[in-house]
Amino acid sequence: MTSEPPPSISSAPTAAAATVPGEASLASESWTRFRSNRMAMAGLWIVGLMFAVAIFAPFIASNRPYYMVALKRSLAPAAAPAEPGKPEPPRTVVMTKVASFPLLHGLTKEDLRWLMYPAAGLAVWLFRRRLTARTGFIAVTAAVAIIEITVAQHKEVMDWTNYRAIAAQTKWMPPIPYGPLEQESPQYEPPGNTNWMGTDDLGRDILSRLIHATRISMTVGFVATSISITLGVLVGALAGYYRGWVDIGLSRVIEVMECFPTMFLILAVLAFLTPSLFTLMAVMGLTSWTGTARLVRGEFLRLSELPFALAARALGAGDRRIILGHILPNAMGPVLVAATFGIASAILVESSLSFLGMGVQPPTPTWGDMLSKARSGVISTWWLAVFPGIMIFISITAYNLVGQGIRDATDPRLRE
Amino acid sequence: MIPTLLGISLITFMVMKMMPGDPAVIKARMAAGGNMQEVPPETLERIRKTYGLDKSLGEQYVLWLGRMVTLDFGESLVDREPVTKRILERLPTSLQLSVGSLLLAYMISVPIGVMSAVKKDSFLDQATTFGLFVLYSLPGFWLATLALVFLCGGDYFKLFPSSGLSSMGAENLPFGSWVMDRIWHLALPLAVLTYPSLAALSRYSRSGMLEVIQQDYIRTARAKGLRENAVIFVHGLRNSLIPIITLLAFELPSLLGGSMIIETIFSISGMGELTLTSITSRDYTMIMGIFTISAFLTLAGFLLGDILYCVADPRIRLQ
Repeated sequence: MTSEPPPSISSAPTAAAATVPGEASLASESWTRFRSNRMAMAGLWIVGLMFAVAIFAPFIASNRPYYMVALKRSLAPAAAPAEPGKPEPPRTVVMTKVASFPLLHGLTKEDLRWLMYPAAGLAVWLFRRRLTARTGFIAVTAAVAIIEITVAQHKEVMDWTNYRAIAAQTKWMPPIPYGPLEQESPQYEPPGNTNWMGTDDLGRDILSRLIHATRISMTVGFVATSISITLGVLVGALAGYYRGWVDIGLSRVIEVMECFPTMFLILAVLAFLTPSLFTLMAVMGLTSWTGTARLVRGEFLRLSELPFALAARALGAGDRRIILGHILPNAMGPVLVAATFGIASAILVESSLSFLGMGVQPPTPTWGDMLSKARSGVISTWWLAVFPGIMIFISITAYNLVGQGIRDATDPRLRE
Repeated sequence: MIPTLLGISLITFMVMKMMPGDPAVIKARMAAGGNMQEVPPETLERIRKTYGLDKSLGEQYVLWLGRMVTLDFGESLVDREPVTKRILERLPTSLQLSVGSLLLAYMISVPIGVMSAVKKDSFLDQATTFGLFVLYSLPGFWLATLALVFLCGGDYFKLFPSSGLSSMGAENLPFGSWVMDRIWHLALPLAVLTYPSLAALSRYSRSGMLEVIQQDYIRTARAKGLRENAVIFVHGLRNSLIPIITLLAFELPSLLGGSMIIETIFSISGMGELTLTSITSRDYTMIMGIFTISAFLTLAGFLLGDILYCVADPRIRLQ
């Protein structure tokens, strides 16, 4: 923390602060404190940048031009219909200009998902004040349905044209003119003017693969952590709120789960399942929720004794309402911290699994898989060892910085 | 203890039942050398009877419980050796790594924590905090790969061996040189395995020490004229250790998981390597054995943590 913001609620008045006084001011006060933490803000910017890279990956690195005008040779239509028995009259060759958008044309289903989900998320976020719990749920469901239908309708184009080699009148290539799966360059090419970060054992451009691999890490980090946090909050809230036998039973379950080293558990389960991104995320989420459950249980044990929870009960609020509406919002700080650190560790676990060859299967580019190439290579290839590792390091550091920032900003003990 | 053990047995049993394929068919194929396409029904019947697979789920679970308690996990599907024997062969190597790394981590991080607590907010404190945070975010398998590429031969430096735990013919060396050889081989794996836990441990040791320093008895110790070293190391240290001892138990699972990757990178034939090879060859009995034993080891770690807790703080008694 570099400097402390003035400890007043009025310093950050928001529209929501007027409607829901306690809650929103706590959040906005925390945000003010978070913003004054330069390291945490840097981490947040890096995370944002990584998501931007993941969303626009094909527009940054692809072997297809955005826009191309090529001269197409074709024969002019015959002047007169060919008469039977006579040779066809010679036709003239005409060059016509053909404009095309190969990049947009060749977007995959995955590209579409990556473009549409963040946009939908942003829209929901912008209109969050207008949405109630019910309309919000409907909006999110509708958005998911629309996106999935659009994606299902979309046809992927198999376009193996080498656009870099085509001489065209106008050709706007992306800044990195190599596709992540394209094996056009020489193998084990050290970093240079053509391949800025070199190429791997199959002659694929490292930089392009790094950019596209951002998607896997971001998805796995986000989805696996969402699963584990949901599960952890559920178990922890039930144990901490109802106490007694529920608590004893659930605590035992937590204890038992903690006896299995997470890596072993994940690998043992993955051994029986067909490897795919989805199973990977599900297994990771289902095996790493115990920490959150412990944390939330503790928070619920503490908070449900406090006057505000007792007051809600005295006013006749039901269990569901007290848990979701009163206690959970007050426990969100530590949960958010755990989630952010959880994303960092999920990225680490995913890349170690891919490194071991047990994660996302090739040829999908992942940082861990790319890093493992450095070990198996016959010749010393420092660029294979250095660049993917740097990406893993930067993303983990960014999330850890954000997590630390949130902890500093929400910890009541640090509040003046 | 007992309920946790029961829970472990239940989870392993469930995972075992999740496995694809009929275990009796797998067993029959294994007995026939792996080239039996159609297994005769009477053979299946016999196998089911011998291994209790014809019994109800409840009875099968009780059988599994009995085998688990006696550490009898059957034979490996690959080389038909007893699973327990294979694991016990590999266990010392992995324990060398994880116990060594645990000791190293505590030996380094406790002094760091104490130092940054005593010199709170000094440049040294901030520098170590920052340095440890960076180390914490460095993925271990990346550093290990870098070390392998840059320090273990290839086109760059050759300072450390790239694989194994001892040189060729190390058994014939005199004891002193043997130890040196082992340390030379262990240096990189241990270092890579240890540094990720340094940040958390020294943070906890720092905050523990900070809390202790503000106590009345520390002021009393200073007031009666003890030297600062005596105040910190005799009166302060022991009390500040209590919170980080509980961390010991939580370090163990991650160490076991971490050593799996490190063992693979440095080609050390321990439990981790065994796990990976048995997963790639779908050696289900071996996987179950390793899975259960690693849970037992973690449980033992929890127990050790409890015992040390009582040693450090006599006010707490084991029930």
